[in-house]
Amino acid sequence: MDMENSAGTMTQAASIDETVNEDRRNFVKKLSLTALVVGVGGAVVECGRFLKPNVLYEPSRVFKVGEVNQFPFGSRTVIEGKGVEIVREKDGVYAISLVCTHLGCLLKPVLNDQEIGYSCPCHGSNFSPRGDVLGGPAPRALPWYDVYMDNTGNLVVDASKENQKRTKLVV
Amino acid sequence: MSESAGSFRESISQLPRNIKESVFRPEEGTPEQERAAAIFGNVFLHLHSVRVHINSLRAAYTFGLGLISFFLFLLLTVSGILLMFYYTPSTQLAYRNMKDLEYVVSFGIVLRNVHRWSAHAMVAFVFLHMCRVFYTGSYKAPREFNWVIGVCLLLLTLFLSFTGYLLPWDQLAFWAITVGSNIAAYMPWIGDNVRFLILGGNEVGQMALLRFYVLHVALLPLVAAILLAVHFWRIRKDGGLSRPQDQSD
Repeated sequence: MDMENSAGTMTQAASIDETVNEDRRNFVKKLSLTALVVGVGGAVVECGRFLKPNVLYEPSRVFKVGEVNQFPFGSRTVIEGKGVEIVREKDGVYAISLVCTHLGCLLKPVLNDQEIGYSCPCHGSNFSPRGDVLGGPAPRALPWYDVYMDNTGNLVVDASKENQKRTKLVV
Repeated sequence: MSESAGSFRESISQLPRNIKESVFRPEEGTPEQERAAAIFGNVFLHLHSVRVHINSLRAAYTFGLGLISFFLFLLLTVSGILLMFYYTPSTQLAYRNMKDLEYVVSFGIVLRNVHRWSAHAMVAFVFLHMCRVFYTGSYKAPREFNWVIGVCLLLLTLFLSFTGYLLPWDQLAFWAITVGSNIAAYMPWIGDNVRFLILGGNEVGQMALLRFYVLHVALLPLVAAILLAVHFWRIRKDGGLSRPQDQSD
């Protein structure tokens, strides 16, 4: 009998407590949920940001290629390891990218063809000597890069800046 | 005195049995219960059910393709761990380490080829396993979720192959990852950022090699192992190994 009585009162007491404390519970629930979202979300953002390096130990995109007289008129010179070709013509000098615009393979200059200037060994894209797409999967023409002459008379290529208008440097 | 000496001799004579029982957790019972205990009393086997349907034993229904894939995963783990003792993820050393494994280290060429061919085989067998699941309709309810886990495991297998591709640091590796990361860059909006993140830079270099190495030897195998455990556990929970229906059904 006693057991039943005490159990009954306890149930009653608990139900009263629940109605009384509903707001309090919701508040604690929301508070802990917010803490969880902020904590987990912060950790995810932090991990993501951590994986993006702030300093890159890569070769500079701006580099010297040599004096102008190393590039005689009508010459096309591949700069090894830079993925750039220097073209010297009667009306000026320009630097053209040798990196295929499809998936980044290194293009092979074609010397014995009137129309095709560059050919990609990976998926067979062909480009004209000016860099326009002639065929294959390449989506864009080859970019021309900014070229200027520094105060020591060396040609400098800035591969971080595309020469949109395809202007030639007059030297 | 004599009593303690006797108990000492007794405990010595019982030592082998004590050791055996401490390792194998004996279960007393009927012979059938003891055989069942061999499965559920073993941490490596307890994911399996003690009894299987007789139709599950028809090997030609599944060809054991999933089991073969798992076995290849174990083979790759063991050979991969051994290869790690001789490999450094550095652009200066990686290629030389790989060549040393081929020409200098005893059985290095065997382990490297076991790893390489098992990797190719695992891609093939995971794919065949998926085909079998598809053709037997085993992706249907209640096994839909396990199919999804399986697709994740297929992707992990492919990512493991892709990340392992760079590690020899030869021309094939360099251009394969150049092309592969540029494919990722075709993703709309986020493509260039994804490429930068997986390479840890703008080109395939030291950062890319280190990232691919960490993914290949730590992160991806860990995720794969966890998903494998879920995959096997779900087979049992979803009604056991997929099997042909009874003739009477």
